[in-house]
Amino acid sequence: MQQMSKLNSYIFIVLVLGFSSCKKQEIGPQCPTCVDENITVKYDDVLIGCEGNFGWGNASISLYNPTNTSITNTVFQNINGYPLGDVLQSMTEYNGKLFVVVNNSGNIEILDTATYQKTATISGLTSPRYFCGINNSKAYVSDLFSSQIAILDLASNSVIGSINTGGWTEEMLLVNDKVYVCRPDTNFILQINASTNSIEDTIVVGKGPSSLVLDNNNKLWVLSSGGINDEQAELNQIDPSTNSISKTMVFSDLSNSPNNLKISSNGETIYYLNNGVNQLSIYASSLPSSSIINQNGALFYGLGISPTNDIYVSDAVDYVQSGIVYRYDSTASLIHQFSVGIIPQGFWFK
Amino acid sequence: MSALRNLFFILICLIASSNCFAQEDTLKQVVVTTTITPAPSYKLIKVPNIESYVTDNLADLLSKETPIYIKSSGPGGLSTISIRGAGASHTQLYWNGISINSPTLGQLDLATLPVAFIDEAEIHLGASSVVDGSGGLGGAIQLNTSANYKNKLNATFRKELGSFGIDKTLFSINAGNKKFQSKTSLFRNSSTNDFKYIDITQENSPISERENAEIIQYGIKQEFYFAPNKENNFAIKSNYIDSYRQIPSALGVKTKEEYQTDKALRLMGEWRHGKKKTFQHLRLAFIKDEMNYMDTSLSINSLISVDSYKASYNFNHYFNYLLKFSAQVNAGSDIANSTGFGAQHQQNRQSVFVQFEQKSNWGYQYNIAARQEVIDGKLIPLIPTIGVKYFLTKNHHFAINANAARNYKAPSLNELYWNPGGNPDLLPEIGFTSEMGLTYQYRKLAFSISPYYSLIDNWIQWLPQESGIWTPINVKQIENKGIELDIKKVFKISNEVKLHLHSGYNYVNSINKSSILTSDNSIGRQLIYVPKHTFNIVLKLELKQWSFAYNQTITGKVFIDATNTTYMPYYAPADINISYSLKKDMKSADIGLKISNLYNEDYQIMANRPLPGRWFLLFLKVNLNATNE
Repeated sequence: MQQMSKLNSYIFIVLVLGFSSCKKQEIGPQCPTCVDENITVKYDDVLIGCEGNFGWGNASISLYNPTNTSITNTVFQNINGYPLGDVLQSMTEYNGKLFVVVNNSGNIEILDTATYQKTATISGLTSPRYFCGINNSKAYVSDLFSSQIAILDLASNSVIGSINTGGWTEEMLLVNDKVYVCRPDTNFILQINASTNSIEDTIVVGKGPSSLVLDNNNKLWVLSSGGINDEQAELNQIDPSTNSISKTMVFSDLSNSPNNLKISSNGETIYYLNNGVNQLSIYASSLPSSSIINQNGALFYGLGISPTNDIYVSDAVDYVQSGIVYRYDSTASLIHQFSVGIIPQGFWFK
Repeated sequence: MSALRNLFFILICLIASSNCFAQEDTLKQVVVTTTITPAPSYKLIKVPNIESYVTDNLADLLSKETPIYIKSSGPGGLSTISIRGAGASHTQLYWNGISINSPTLGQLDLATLPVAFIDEAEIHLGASSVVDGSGGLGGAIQLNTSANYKNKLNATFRKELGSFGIDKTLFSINAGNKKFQSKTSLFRNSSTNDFKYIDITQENSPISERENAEIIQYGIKQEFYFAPNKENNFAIKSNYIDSYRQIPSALGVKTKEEYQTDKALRLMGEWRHGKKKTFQHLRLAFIKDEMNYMDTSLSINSLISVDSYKASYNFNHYFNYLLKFSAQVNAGSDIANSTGFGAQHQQNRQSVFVQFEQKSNWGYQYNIAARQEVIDGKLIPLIPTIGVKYFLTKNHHFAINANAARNYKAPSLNELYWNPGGNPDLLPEIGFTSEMGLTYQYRKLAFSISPYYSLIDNWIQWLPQESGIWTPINVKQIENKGIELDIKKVFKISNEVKLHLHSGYNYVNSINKSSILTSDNSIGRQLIYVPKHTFNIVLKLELKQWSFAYNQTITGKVFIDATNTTYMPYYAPADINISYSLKKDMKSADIGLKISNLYNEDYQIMANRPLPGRWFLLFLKVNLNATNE
């Protein structure tokens, strides 16, 4: 009996040591199905910015081609060999480069739009949100926490200064050497002189402005969410030559929290999300009474309008699974739906 | 009948309750405790080797000594538990019968609970958590303290020094006589945690050093026990921990200046009474919990402070040695202040539990019990449970058991009142759980196989609403199917050489069964951060004055997205512990070396939270021990 026990214990020790001798290669998050070594860049590509979960480091970019409907996930990592970072906030094209703002990494990854290869990284930002190019050498970056807009030097790709803004800044738009900046925790937008970097004016809009577009009549449109059931949301049209409000449309339902203001490539049709995709002409005098695309129990998270006026809308589902992108044509009929990365929220059309 | 009489003897466990459990699970004895413990038809794990972890925290202990999955962000960092596929808030923790899960978070960070505070840890799996309270949809953990009235003086000084600035000091002194005992422990633990790791999120995966990961914890435990006579026993128990932890950023996240302080004071007065066939146990407790999260780089300062007043009364009556009636009445109030609330919130809970436990005199046992809870004056659905145990062989070595319960978990205060987003209309999560088991126990060998099935309905998840505000909602129905294997054996190789072995393997298939979300692609898929396979083995060889311990855990891959496309790879770290003990009369000195992550594995438990490679620890323990016998 004692012999047996001895033997048993040796067997156990050998077994246990055996377990540990096999060394594995994988470290950290793995996605075998995402790997694609042969990414081909096409003229009509759509890049989908996937936010990822805060603190998980799983921001990613998915690549969709509308012609052959192919999808490749984690393109940034596939091409550049390392993951994008934590919380993709926005993608903005400027001078043939794509500026990908990675919020919780405090970085902007600059991609060559011809290859999606990284050309440079701008780091040292606090909580960057949006990029706005001013000229070949200068750009602004808005910020959630720093109460400043960072001024970038595009030659050295570094932060060279800042503009105090008093709080959270969001989307920005350059119109005739003036930059209009949303201040979502207030009821105004800022107007900054892009030559002197000084705030010249504030324009009162609805509560919680966060997105803005320019139409083909050079009028600025600002969408304000109304805060959290605080005030009624508003869509305002501003004449940038005078900074006066030329149109105000109020969302009658206090619970409405519209967001994601976009405009068609010809600058004549405005889109936004509010319980579905809504559309109105820049000549309209009132808000549409119903959505053109119903969200049917889902909650649309991101919106993009392609150069051919296809409507791309995303659903993050439960925010920890592959998000879904729906592609509709301009008449709001569904063309294609596909799965992408975690929390798809932005679209860039090549 | 005479044989029967021989079978029947009552062990009075008023004094050192832990000694009695070692022999439970046979019909030969009736184990008596003043506290209500799970009936024999339920599964519990007494965590072994607890004294080897006296300078560690509960997460370290459970992750090494059981195959239960502990999700840890790093050494000493936020660590949560998942039992049988359930979430962190579905494991209820109790300190001497009093709930210590944070009422605001609904869960407890196991890294803030030092093993020095407890003498015994008992895991109540599945339905067996119903005897402790509600909400243990996965299970419950009872952390108990007790006194040994045979002790005269037991003084210990322990010092540990290790890699990346680990510096631990523990001093404890237990002294007393047959009527009075005092137990005191003081400790301080610190480490800089600036270990090296491979940064897979940077170009060319450089080797980096962890930053902003320092930890400083100190604590004190003081307990007084008083037994004026055979029938009565009084105790005052207290502990206090002050913990300062820097929070290192996940890889790929901008380095910030985040840190967290946790301060917890726990106080309890206890009275036990046992006379003839009736046993009572009253506990009154006050708990003050303060958690402060700061990010100086972003000027974020969030403070949560909770005062809890709790009372628990247990009553056990033996009609005869075959029939027992138990009842428990609990009442408590949590008063919470949080920067996330904007106002103070109070929650009052009362509950009543009754149980009948009957045995036959030939080999089966069954019990039937129910708990009714009232939260803020509202009746919560009844929690019923039933269990059966049957001995397959006459010698009582083999037994089968089965049990089932319906349970529920009330929403946490954050889920109800967080501003903005708290959802006062949130429904409790409802659990149904059932288990079968086959156990074998004879002398130095014990093993068990327990398949189980459970459902959790109204599974709560935070999701953004139309307004963009994140709100907790009852989203999913989760199904957990699994099997647990445990084995324990002592090999006596010679009179001076003994090998202790215990090992466990858990399999859990935890899936999203249905969901209120349209186009939810996670239906039928494994939940995130729930490994299908976990395994552990502990081998401890005692050879005269030498002791060698080898610990191996293997945790299978976990998915990190609900559609199961991305995962964290498996990890299999091993530890080895060698110590030498010198004894002379009542004095002893132990010196030892511990090598952790023996095979220098590069791994992460949570995505982008690196863990250290191989590291070392030296320890010295000096002990003075005298008994009253």
